[in-house]
Amino acid sequence: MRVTNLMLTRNALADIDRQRVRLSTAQQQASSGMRINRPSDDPSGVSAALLLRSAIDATEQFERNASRAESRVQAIESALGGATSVIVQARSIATQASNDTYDARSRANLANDVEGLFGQLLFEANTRSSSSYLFAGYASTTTPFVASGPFVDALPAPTVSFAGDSNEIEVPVLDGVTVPTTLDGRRVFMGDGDGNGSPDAGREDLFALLGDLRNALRADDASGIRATLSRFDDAIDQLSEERSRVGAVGSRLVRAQDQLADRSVQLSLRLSDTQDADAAEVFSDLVNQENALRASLDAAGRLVQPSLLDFLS
Amino acid sequence: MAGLFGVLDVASRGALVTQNGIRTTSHNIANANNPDYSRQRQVLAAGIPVTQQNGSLGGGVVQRSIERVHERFTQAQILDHNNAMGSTEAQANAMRIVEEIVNEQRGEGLTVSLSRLYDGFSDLAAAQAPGAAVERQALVGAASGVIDTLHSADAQLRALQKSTHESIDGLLTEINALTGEIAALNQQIVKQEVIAPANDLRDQRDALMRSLAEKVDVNAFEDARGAQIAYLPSGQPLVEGVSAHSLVAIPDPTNPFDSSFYRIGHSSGGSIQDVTAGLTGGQLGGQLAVRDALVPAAIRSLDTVAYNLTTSVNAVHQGGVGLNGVVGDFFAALPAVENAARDIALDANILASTDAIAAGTTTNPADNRNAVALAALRDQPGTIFLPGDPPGPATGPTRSVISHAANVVAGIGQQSRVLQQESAQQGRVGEVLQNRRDEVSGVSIDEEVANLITLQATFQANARVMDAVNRLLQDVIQIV
Repeated sequence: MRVTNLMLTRNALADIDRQRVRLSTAQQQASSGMRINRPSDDPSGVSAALLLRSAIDATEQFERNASRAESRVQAIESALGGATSVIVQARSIATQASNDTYDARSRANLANDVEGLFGQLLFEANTRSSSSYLFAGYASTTTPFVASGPFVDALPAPTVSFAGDSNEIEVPVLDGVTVPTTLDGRRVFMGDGDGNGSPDAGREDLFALLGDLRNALRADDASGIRATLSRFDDAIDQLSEERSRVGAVGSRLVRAQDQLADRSVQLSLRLSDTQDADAAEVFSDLVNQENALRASLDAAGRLVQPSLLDFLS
Repeated sequence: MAGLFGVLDVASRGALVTQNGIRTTSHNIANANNPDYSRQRQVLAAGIPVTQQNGSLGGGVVQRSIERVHERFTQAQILDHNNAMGSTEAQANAMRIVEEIVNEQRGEGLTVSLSRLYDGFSDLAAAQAPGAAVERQALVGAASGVIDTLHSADAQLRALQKSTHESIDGLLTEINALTGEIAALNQQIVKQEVIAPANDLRDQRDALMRSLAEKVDVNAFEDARGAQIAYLPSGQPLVEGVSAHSLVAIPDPTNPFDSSFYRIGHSSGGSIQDVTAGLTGGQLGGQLAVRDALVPAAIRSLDTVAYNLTTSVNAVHQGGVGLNGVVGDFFAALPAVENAARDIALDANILASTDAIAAGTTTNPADNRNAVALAALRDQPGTIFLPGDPPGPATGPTRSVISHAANVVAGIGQQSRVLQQESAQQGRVGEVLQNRRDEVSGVSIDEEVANLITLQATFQANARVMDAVNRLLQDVIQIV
């Protein structure tokens, strides 16, 4: 084999070029901290990384949805708590007034208290969160419970009608999983879950119940007052059932949030495994490549090697 | 006396031939750094002897010719290699740009913007305030993000296609200039070789052939007179003896991407033949592949993302109703997959009022059922429409739009990776071939210097013979 002068130079330069490419790749991995800097570095890894990033984004979105749902669920819980205390107070008034020692005058006084409670119940049923009614279904800008008029002593209590709809707003918190963030107000406060206009079996229209108690008190009708007592028990059961329903939603949300937090960590780890460079490996590689380049340069420096000319005088 | 003159004649011829040898060596040394040069060698032979009965007297030395040391096989291999390398390198360089256009590793791109869009639907579903005015506005922003990303990637790809076309324009000029020069050299070589090998002209012509092969697919052979014939793989000659045929542009007004893109024709004797399909090698073949195959494929794959996003979102969106009672599309309906990435836009109703976004299936302000369904599209697989599918059924794979987008990016990366590996591998083959050429034809200074010493000694010896003859002649003259 003949080795000519041009060959030596060309080969040395090609080696240095190749070495520089390797060094630049190692430097890029070290400075970006990523093993994959462009799709061709690892096409299947890139596809996995893109999907993982999208999944992380989706997880964060679910977390946002869950925390928003949580604030609504808390508002519903406090409204139901308020309604329960109204009904408990009204029941104790009924118990008290059913005592035969009460006369018409003191019963009329208690009737005033019941009218106040009626107003409070109406307030709780029309609870709003971020200016949307929580018990109005999709008609969240419509006041769901409207009284037919003010209390007038001589007249029977006003009736309350429902102007919302019975939908519960479902919010996605996991893939394919939604939780209700509102309750059907007609079922909660009027006991009418099937929408036929009258309370279902064993259920009470809370407004009608308070109205009946107030009418009986005004009419000084002891047996009428006593008749409401068992209905109050039903009403309290009804509210506590709704409260446990909301409680279940709350705990589903907590579980979902735990799961999302876990998933977020796992996805981030997998993303890091997929696209990040192993720092120790990258830096040792970088040092190796630097040394290799130095060696190539050193070898090229020796190209000005002795030729026959050096030995001729 | 006649015998002595014969010796003088042999010696002076020897000195002359040796002088030519020194000239050849110095020519080699002078061209030691010329990469296109092939070293030259003196071919010697013994002179015609004077035959007598008592033995033949040698006739000294004659120079047969000066030949260049050259391996035709290596040159042919280099031509083939330059053909392949020119094409692969052009494609690899273009794909490096294409993959950078869709690269999301160092910044946000298509899949992130798609993810934001689905976040927007989800935000709309989880909105607290009735009517969700803020979320609607944000959703329009997220959708515009997707649209902008697609538009910008599409525009960058089309710009790359356009600049590739411009380089094809330049290549045609260069190729036509090269074939012209080769034809001119053919003429000189044929003329000169009636007398003696045209070593240096052949080196020049070989170099031009190598650079022609890098630019366009050529096959080559030499005819009996020493003229180089170069022709396209499809048979049309580019250089035929002393005449060159040029490659010309054939307008292609129906090109689906740009009506200024033209096809390549071979012009011969006034008739023009379309040779585009046969051009696969060389930079010209590579750039044509970039302009007509690689970039269009990338544009079309973005089109599938845009089209499938539009149809999948619209299909669900039409199932709902806006706050203002409008039932319609979210993205403006697209007629075909082709150019979807360029044409994707929001529907006119949505642009007119965000109330047209169908979050619910009723006009109730808190009805979020349709928004929930839209948000669920993120992971919902569907059969992907491919170019040419609509209005027929989709024939692509079944996957969600986001994972389709990730696949598109991975596909482009894979293509780029293969081309880069191919081009690196060809680069190494190129080095081997170049080394092989240098091994045979390159100048080694050591060798030349050694030759020089030998030649110097030979010259001195010949001079000594002449000196001896001179003395003998003087002796003879003094006797007389």
